[in-house]
Amino acid sequence: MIITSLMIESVSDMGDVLMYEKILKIIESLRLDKSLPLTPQTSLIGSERVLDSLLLVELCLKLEDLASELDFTFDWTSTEAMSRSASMFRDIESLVIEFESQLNQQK
Amino acid sequence: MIIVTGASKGIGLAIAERLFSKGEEVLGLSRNPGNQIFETRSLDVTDFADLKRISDEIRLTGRKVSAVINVAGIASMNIALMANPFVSEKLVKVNFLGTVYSSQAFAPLIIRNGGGSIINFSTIAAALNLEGESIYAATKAAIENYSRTLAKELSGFKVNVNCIAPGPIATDLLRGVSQDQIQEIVDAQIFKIQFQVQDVVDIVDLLLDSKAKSLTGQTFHIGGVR
Repeated sequence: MIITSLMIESVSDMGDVLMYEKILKIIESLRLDKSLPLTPQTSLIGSERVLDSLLLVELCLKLEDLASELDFTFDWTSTEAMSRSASMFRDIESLVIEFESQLNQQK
Repeated sequence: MIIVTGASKGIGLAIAERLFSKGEEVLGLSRNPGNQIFETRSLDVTDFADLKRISDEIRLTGRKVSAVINVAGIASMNIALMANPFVSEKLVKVNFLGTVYSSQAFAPLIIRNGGGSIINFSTIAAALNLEGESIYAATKAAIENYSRTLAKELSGFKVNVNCIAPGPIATDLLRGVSQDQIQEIVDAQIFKIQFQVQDVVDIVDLLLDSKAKSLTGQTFHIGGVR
């Protein structure tokens, strides 16, 4: 997977492109259909999702492991995970933002 | 490791003791664990954060969890229209949400284990729509429904989810139920026998056996329901 400069530019507001790349790498390793490139706007839930429900759970477990490496606890049951419109899983960018937010809150 | 909630007395304690005596690593969870032969932790199943904290601790120590047995529960008999709102809320919290929270907190550990089993507890009162047990039976019916859906959602991870629905087993939960009422319930079973705690533990044994790997999304009635 090649992360284009355009993609990096679009997530640069997140403050940590490295985190985006780490999470992107996890999603890339999990998804079955690799025909389209992943972008910050790639959906993780809904009709356009790139992971089915089983793979979404596996993503959560891998994010739990990544969080442990970074010495914090990732909570995928938080309020942000609930609704489709505000869900952390609505796209990759939202997930990275929420993951970093939880990291920063527990620092 | 096998996690048992409600492991300080009654069916939960009997299950934890049987599993421990068979050489299983057991973690018993309850509000007041007391001195048991197996490892215990004090915990209220209505506190999801506490359950998650214990789950995280287990994950970080690398201990494997093969099963969770959600026994923690309370009973209260009331005429529906006279049910105290506080008691109704408590029944929903302990019986239903306690099972939901525990399953949610510990299922990821079973998935990490590569599969295993979740056993939840219902009651014959749910199938019989027993008068005087509307709220209690409703919380248990909710557990049955929840378990069937959970079984589907976890099937891809080789996690079996089943319910055991005992009849009138002689435990603290039966306090206040008259012998006539007990006999009435026993008569509604296919086997008209008042089964014992160890009979329930036998079914747990059976469901944890690898030969039961095809059984999921089901409710097992002790003694059968007519």
